[in-house]
Amino acid sequence: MVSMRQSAGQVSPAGRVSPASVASPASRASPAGRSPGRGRRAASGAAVAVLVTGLVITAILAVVTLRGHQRTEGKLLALQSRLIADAGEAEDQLYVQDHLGAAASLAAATNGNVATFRKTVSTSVTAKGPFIAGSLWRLSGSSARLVAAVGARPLLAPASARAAAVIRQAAASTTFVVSEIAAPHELRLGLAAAASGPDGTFVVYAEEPLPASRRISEPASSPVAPLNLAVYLGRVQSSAALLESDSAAPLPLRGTTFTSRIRFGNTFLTITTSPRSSLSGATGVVLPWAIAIGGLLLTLLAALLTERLTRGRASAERLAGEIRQLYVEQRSVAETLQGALLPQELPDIPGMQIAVRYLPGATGVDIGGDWYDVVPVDEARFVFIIGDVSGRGVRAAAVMASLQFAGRAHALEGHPPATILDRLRRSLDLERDGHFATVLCGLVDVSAHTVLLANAGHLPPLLRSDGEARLVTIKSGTPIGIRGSSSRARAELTTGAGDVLIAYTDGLVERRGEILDAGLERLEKVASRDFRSLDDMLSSIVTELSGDEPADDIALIGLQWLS
Amino acid sequence: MAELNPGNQAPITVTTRTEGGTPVVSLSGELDLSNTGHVRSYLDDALAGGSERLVFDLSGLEFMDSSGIALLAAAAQRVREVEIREPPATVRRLLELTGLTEILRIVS
Repeated sequence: MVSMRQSAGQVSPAGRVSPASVASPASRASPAGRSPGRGRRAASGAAVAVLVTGLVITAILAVVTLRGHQRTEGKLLALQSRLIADAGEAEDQLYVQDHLGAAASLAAATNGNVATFRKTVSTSVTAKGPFIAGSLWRLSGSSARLVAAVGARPLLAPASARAAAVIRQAAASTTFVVSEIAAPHELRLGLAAAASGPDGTFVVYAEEPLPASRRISEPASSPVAPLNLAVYLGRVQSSAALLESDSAAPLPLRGTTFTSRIRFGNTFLTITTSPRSSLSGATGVVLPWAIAIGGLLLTLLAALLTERLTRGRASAERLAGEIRQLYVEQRSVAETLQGALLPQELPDIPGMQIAVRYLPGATGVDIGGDWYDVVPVDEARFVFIIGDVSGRGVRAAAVMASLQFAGRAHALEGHPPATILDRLRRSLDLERDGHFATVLCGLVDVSAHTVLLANAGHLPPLLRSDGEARLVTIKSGTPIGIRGSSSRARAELTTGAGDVLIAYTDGLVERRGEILDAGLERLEKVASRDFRSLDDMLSSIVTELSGDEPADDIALIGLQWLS
Repeated sequence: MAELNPGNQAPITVTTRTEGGTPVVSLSGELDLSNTGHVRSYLDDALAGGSERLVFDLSGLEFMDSSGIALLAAAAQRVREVEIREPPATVRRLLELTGLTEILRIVS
């Protein structure tokens, strides 16, 4: 009446309840999956890994973006700076050449005509600039002589040795000569260009004022506007060499800078630029930060999520472990209870060998309702009972206990098996109690070699006689708890020396999807083999028929006539 | 005689109809402890009319355990006659061996 579904069950060597089925303190204390508190406080490894990985990726992305932005900025800066420098070079060179060079050439051609000189420089030497002072010099041998002067008083005193040096230097140079002329509160750029004519060499000298603070401001429309700009005379970016700057920032410029050097007469202009704001637009500046902050938030979120999932899983595993533990404990309690209900020791019946087996089924936690009993009636006779209460659980066990005690009492009163069963019928009702029981009861007269059997819905016993095992032919009355008659379900057997009678519960022979007769035939076949002893026989039967996974409880009682 | 199917219920199909006023409960699939409660509710409905007879059509039943026996036996105690129609050989043998044939009318 049962399927073979799950595993476990153990045969004890001497019958009785298998020791393995009794709960041991060790098994109860087993830490199977129980580790409360673990992983509750500290973040899980997974969450930390996610956090670290996320942060690393975010950092890499942010740095790469930042680098990209800086590279773009650098390129844009270089591009703009080169444009400015190229334009500046052409403009400044041409400007000086146009004005001073042209004036010198005219002077050379006109043999230093003063009127021509004044006319030539009248547009460039004015109070508004670009030059505020101008002068024409004639070079005779190594001496320079002032021919004419226009505009403001020059900072470079015409009579000074330095003036003579500048003029001589200009005459010797193929291009115009630049010098910085400083006075206590003023700074000017001195520019001198020379030209030679048939009547000698003439030099035009002019002074260009520089802002005293050296600060200039560029209109917003200027291509220089988005840049900080610092222009130095010569090759060195020193404060002394600074000509002009539009930068509000301290000099020299820092950060992303670009420096270009252009020819300016006999010297150079060093132009340094740095961006005032991002040249490639606001996105480039914001992007690395957006990535860093966004990545950080996403990473934290992912880590939190991972942590929650990890904890959820940990607590689920813990719960599963606890449930498993509870199951083990409950099952061992159930098995202990069942073991306690079965007779702990069988009575010693002279002339008989008696052995039993009980295997708890593996299915579920619930205690089953199989039982057996042996009750001596007098010196020559005893009653054996084997039964199986339907269903499982503590209620089934309670029914089993009451039937066992009632059966024992009725047997002791000396009633025949049929009467014992009829009386048991009074103590159980399927409708009322929800359970019924199949019971086989036998009265054995040891010396007379007779067995009187009565059956209430139980499977027929097996008699092995002269090495051949056969099921006993006995009708089945209705089970205990189901109204009906069992009056016809009786049989009487006669046995010989060495004969074995085996009664069992259905767990031994039943397999799901198989007709019961198949199991019964298996039993007959196995029981017909040769055995060393009754114990050996029962062990073999249980092993062969139940396999490793008895799904249902199995109870087995064997009686052997010794003489 | 005990069967426990923890967790899920064994597959069973229950259909009820009446034949000339007699309720006929057809069971197909597997009848065990996991689903006898389910079947019992159909039984209660079928017997609510106060019929004296009840028919179980077990032609489609593939498996039955002691819980099924309890179900059939309990039904037999509630009405005058329970007819078991076309039980498969396994079920029929089970009914014979447990003495249920005394209170159930088997019709092949």
